[in-house]
Amino acid sequence: MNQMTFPDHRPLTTAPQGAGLVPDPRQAPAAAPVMNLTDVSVFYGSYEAVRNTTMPVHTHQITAMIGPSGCGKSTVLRSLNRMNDLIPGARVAGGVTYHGQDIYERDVDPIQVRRRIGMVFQKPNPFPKSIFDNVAYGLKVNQIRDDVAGRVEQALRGAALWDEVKDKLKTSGLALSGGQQQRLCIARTIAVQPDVILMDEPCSALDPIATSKVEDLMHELAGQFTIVIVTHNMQQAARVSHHTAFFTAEVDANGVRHGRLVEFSETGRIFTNPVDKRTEDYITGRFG
Amino acid sequence: MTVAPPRPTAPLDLTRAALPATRRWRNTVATGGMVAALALAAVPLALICYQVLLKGAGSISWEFLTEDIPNSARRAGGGIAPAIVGTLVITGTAALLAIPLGVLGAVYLNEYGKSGPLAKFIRTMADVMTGVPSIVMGLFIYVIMVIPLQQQSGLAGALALACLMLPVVIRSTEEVLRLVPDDLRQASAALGARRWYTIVTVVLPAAVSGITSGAMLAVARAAGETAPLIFTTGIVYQSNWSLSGANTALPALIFKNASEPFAAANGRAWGAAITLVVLVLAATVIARLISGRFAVKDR
Repeated sequence: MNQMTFPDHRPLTTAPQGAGLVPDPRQAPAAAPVMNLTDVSVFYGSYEAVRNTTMPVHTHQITAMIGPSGCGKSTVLRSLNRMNDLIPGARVAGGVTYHGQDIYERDVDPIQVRRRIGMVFQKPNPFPKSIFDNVAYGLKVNQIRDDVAGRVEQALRGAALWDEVKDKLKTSGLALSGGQQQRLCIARTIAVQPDVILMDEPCSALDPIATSKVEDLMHELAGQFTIVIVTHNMQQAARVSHHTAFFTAEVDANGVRHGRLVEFSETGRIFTNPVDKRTEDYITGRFG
Repeated sequence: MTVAPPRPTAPLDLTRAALPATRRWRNTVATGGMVAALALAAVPLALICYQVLLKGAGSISWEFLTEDIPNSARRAGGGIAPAIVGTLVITGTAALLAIPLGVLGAVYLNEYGKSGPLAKFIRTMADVMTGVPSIVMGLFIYVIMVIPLQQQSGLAGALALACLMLPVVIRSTEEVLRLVPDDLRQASAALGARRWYTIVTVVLPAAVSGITSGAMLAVARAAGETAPLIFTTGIVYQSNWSLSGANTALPALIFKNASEPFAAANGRAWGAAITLVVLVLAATVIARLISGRFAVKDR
């Protein structure tokens, strides 16, 4: 008779098992947060997609945004570097400050904002250019002309991609695998040395091995950059982030759905001892 | 305990014969239909090439390509050099006018205007212009340029052809620009690039192959036009490399010589037809080579 191997019979919750998985904030957020959201609402035309979000983004830490689909977490993320400007009809109300300055003030140039607050997208989107040119693109945009090759190498090393591509820098970025393409996009982003990196579900198109590489990378990058990540994967939020914001979708009295921030706290706290019932239901997999 | 899937009772038959007969014959009929349609579409193409080569190959010689056109169509000998020169000068100028303007117009429509009222208006006008008969373009240039100046010229012909090419270039380029993924524009914007920089360094290079196809289609169409040139360029028997002064072109030469009853004229028309086909082919190949240098390979 076969020896049955019993699978792990722990309940299928997505909460981390044991405190060991929860990263300790490596440095207490003693300094002022690099970004602050105050009563941020985002509209698409007359539709209010997200209501009244207030949360900080702490310096050199990883902040995760989690929540069900349609809860507005990506929308909030995109409001942090004015990417919503590219969507016709999108409008942001409330205050988003970066080092104390409101980035939605009239005389703020979104280009200046995006040069300091970079973004990595859900789907790897390398340019149809060579690997080298992909990374060098941001340098060209920002008119950095000294030691381009060195900066490209440094960025590719920073994105843990250098050893895999150092012999084929001239080949197209599109010839890489999905996981490599995403790390190429991260290299492209860090090459211009931004202050904050926004990541919009950066691993959702990747397999588990590529995902773990990107997560390791995030840990390394957090020493240098402030990272905000949107993820559907709660274990990922638990594994990588220091702070977590839980969003949900609500239906108001008129039957209109909109996203809302439910709870913002240290990640360990959100996953082990959430204040709000909705957070607890979501992270333990119980709904309604 | 999981339930085992039911065991198949008969041995598995995964051959084509096991499919229902209707599915099999439908597939056969559909495949056959597609092959037949392709063959039917290829027949006129092959016949045209065959006929042009058969009738025209005999007249091609160095003298034919380099000598002036005889003053009288019935006289044998002479060449078609002035018409080749005219076609190169007039079509070339028209392409230089229409392609940059058309590409920039398409960039406006797709990247800036989008679905705004001005963009919608321009798009509609471009569609209407595509449908305007080419002789109307010729008449238009004749009225606004040739009559006031009392002078037919290569430039007037080039302008008429440019009017003809412009809407084709605009619409084909816009369609290609629309296919460039928005992801790329966003990635560029997230790096702090301005819109024009993104367009020049990312969007246009990604679309250059399609833009070239559209532009060459427009050039080929313009190179074969007779009607817009009848009023605007006139006729000459010696090569005229300048844009001023009357000129001639291959389609006009073909028209004139093919409508004569003389064997020498007919032979000259067929020879000119081959020359025109080869010129358009050469222009397309050269454009492909040039755009290939800018285009980025996927692999």
